[in-house]
Amino acid sequence: MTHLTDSQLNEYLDRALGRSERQAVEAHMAGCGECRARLAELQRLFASLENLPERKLQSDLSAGILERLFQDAPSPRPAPRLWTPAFAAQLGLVLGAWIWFCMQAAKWAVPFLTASRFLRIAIPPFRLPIPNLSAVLTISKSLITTPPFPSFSLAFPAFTPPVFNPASITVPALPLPTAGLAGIAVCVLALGLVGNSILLRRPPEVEQ
Amino acid sequence: MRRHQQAVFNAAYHMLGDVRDAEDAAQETFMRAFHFFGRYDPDRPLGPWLKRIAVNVSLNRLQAEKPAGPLDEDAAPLPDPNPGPEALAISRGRTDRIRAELLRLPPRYRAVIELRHFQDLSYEEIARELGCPLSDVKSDLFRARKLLAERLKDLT
Repeated sequence: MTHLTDSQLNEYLDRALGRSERQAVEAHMAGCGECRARLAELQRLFASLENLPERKLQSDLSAGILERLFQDAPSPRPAPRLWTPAFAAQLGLVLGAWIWFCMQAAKWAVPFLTASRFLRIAIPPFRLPIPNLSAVLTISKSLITTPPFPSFSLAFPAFTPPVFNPASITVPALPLPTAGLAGIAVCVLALGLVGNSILLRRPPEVEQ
Repeated sequence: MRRHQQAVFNAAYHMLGDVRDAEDAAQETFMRAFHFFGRYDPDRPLGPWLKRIAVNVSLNRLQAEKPAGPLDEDAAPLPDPNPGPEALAISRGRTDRIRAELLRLPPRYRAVIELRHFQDLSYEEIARELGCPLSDVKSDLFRARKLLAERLKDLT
């Protein structure tokens, strides 16, 4: 007589057998005392495990879990603060000095020209523009001698835009030589670079 | 957290057999649950998910303690022929005896017993949980039961 395998007995108790297999196992056990004894032994084990009482937890774990959660959390590393008031002031100072320098060099037209140049050159953002002084002066001289916009008139309504005379702009005139202006520009640029590097430096690691 | 900590602790305690270790494993279970909460299916109950994590945490701990441990029941420690007062205390009651025999099983056997008997998972679910073939689950579970039944025969 072929007895049931351990696998068949286990799967029978686990209700993992199909209907026909289950019926076959039951039919065998009806006539086999040895397999019934093996099944009973397994059933006792199942009952022992099922009746194993729970062990009571002695203390609340939540405080320890919360503590570990905070300990294991990565230390906050603030992102570089780009638009701080100090940086904005510094940027304003650099831009102001730059515009003043340009206006000194070529009255009103130069800031617009350099602004467009700035937009073209200032990408990536921390690169400051380096002026092509001779080109700026040449362009600005031509703009100063000729009106920047041609005068025109509209048929209706009749309107004549005022001719903008760049010579009418009063700029604080400081008779600084070109070398001096270049020196100031270099200082301002250097200040900007140093300031950027200080403001954007990596903060020290926070000790746990 | 408070609602599930008892069940999570017990799952770890069945596997580890030491209160301090089980508490520590339960804490780690919650840490992992927080960390991997994105994987939790909110349509299913939270408790069984946490208990399954507890089994995996405990199994990892046991395997880290004994990395080269083969699934060989003969490798399990034999009972001390001259048990000291501590061993005698462990074997005093029926419950303690069952716990002690569970702890004598190799870690993988403990895991399948825990998942099948205490967490009521199917063979397929256990295989998925432990990341092993279905045939391995059946083989481990049936061997573990056979060993336990033999060792606990004198209790009945």
